[in-house]
Amino acid sequence: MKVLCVAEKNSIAKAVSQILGGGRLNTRDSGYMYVKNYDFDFNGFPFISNGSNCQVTMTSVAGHLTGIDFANDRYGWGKCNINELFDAPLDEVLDSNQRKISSNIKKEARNADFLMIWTDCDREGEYIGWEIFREANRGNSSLTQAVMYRAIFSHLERGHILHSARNPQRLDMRSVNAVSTRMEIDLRAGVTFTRLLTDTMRNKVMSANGAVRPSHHSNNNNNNNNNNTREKKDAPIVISYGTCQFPTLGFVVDRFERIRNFISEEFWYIQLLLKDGDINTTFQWQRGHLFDRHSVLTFYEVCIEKAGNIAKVNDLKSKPTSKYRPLPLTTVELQKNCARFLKLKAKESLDAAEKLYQKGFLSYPRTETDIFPQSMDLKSLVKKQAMLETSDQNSRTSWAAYAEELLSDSPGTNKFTIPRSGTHDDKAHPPIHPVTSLGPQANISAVERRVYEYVARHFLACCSADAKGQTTTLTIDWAEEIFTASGLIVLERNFLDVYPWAKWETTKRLPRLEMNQECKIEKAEMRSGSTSPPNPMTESELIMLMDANGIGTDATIAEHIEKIQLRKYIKSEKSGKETYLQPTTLGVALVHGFEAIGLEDSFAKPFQRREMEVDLKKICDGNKTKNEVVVDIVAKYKKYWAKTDSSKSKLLEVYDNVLRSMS
Amino acid sequence: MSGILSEDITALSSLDRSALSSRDSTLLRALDRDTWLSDKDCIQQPFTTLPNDCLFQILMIENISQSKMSQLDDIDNKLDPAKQRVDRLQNSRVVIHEVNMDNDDSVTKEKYGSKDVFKLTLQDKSGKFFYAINYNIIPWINVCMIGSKLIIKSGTSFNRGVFIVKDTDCSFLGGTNRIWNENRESKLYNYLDSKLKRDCNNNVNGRKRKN
Repeated sequence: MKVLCVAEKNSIAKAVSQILGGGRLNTRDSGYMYVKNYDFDFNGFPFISNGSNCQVTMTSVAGHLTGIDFANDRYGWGKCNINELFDAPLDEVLDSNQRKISSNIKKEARNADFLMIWTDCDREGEYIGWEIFREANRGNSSLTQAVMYRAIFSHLERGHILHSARNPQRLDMRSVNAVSTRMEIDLRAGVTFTRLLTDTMRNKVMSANGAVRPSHHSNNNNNNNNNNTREKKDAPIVISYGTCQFPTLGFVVDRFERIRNFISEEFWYIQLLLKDGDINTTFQWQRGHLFDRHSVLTFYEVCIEKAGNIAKVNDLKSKPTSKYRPLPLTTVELQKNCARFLKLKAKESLDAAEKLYQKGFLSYPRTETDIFPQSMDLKSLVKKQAMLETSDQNSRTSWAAYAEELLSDSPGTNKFTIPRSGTHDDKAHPPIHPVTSLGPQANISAVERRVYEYVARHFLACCSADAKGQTTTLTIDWAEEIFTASGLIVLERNFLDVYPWAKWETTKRLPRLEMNQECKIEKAEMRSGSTSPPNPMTESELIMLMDANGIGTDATIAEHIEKIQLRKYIKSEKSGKETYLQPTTLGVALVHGFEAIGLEDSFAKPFQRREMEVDLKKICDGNKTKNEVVVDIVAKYKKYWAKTDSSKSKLLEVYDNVLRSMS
Repeated sequence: MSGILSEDITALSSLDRSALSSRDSTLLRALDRDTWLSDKDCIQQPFTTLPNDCLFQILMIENISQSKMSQLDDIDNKLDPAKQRVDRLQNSRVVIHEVNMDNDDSVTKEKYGSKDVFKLTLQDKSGKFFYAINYNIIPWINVCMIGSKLIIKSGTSFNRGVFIVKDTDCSFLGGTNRIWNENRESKLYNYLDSKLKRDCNNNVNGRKRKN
């Protein structure tokens, strides 16, 4: 019997082969440089009866195996009316590398009796699995869906992989359909609007950028004659549209406008100062601050009139308090925190986590789950972080001793604790966690090392006790106006020791006062301040907004941000330690252009995309079909397109206005 | 008798004083009193307490706990939700495209009972202006109509033109003035907007002067 296994990347294929083959494997070239074929024997698949000899070939693809596009000779740029593309037939297309990979799969499928898909366990991986099946079936028509299985796994630890091989499932066709729905809508909306926007605005944008070259005209002609690719090298500017790109841009522009239109307002408040020995304590007004000087003055003068400089202790509360350890790590949190704590770009941190996963150090880094499954042996993972087998102290990580202490029987408050549970479970992958420990000579880059350290510390923090402290809140009453001061004493640091990014520190002591005690106010002041504009968008904030609004998936959020930077819709600007995202003239003009046309709902705002995500979810749950969703959403885009096409002058007009207002 | 509630109290014609309910007589007593501080500039009046119950009508209600910008934003979002800025999590309300008619829970919740401080502009029957700020939560304060009538009770704190009013210091009589409430939201919008711009110009001028 022969089984063909196909993974999403060569690194996974190699790692899985090594585990299943028990280290005995034969490596062959595949015809494509980055993919190898691995041959070995494995006798654990339940679909093959015991005793029969089972040969396995494990190979891989490199991401998607096929793409979809319009036939270029008929539907290329300039060869058809753009709006024909809403209904034009779609072709499966393979680039030269994909063709090499595909012929390898067909060839290897020829002698296979079974096909087993080992792509990553997410929606995209499910679809890639389907692409693989199609190619394999073309190479060997007896490889039908009946003999196709799917391995469910989320990291490359040996026991886990063996379990996956022994418990194969089936490909989830609903997820496959959801992905193909998204691909079709993204392509139709993307190509039609990209062509329309580029044709409408290219010259205007180029001349505004001062980039009008003498060859400009012939360049254009060139494009018209020779337009087999959408993004030719010599195409001067492409103003692309993407169903995620635009809402992403919208967030940045909205923040930019909020700042640009911000008017600072003055406010007033009352503050009391009490003295106890040489300790001064400031008490804050319970009303916060008010935007009316006359009213604050009234409160202030009435208090002085009624109570002079005497206040009374109204309430004295002291209660134990906790600083909670973080929730188990999701992809979005990873990207957000690496941006905040390590100042890494979302794409950098995700790429590093991906590499660490392929090298077997981390679990699968694309997950929405913030609950560890009960069955997981977390203690053994902590034990790996403790690096007990490493005798050379210098080779241990700086957090190994912490992990050791967490598991030890020595006295102390901070012992292994079952992690907190969040509320998200994608039912595919556990939260991101370290799988094996990291030696000093591990072959990884500096960024990967930092990301690994973050994930490991985060994981240990999850398995630690919450930090414990005592907060005291002292409330005083000054002629019936209430003022409070509070203080914190940290009693047990616990997880804070391994998670240096969380700040929680003991504050100054409060004055010693008792309930109902009268006290003299050292100073009562009426002060003023003014509101300040919000900060420009940071990448971590943008990630959160995209996640909350369902723009992109945890895996693609970073790509969308990268894309709109590449398109010069936004740029990053450094200011002190922080890097901010600011829209360009073009970015602002596109957003306001669609607002002017009356299409903000579907373009610059996240609402339309969010609706589509809901529909995709419905396909996954079996409540809608691909056809229903495609017909419905493509019809909407057709309408939007016609409206935009008849409002081209508006787009240009807005661009001019924005250009003027931003220069 | 309750006709007064929808009248402008500075321009009352003769009243029908027959068949009075107890509420009506309270109202009349407060109305018939001589107006308070009638010959003085009330802004100059240092701390005192109101000597007897007084009737006022409410001309304006301003939330002074919220910045004008955020109030303008709220009105904008309400009038045109599709254009709301989506760069904040708490702001990104879903645009409602469908309403389930069988479900009553979707009624918009007002910020009822919030701890915000409101500044009311009041007027007595002589046309004199006073201000009032609420000391504690007063349930009617952010839902009442312009032109509502209010009795502030004797003993209420007063300082430089401003009453500090507790819920127990006043009786709210309701009432309205139809014309004053027309397009109230857009009037409020224009009011806040022009006040904001005025303050902004003052700030700029102030800065210039310093330079």
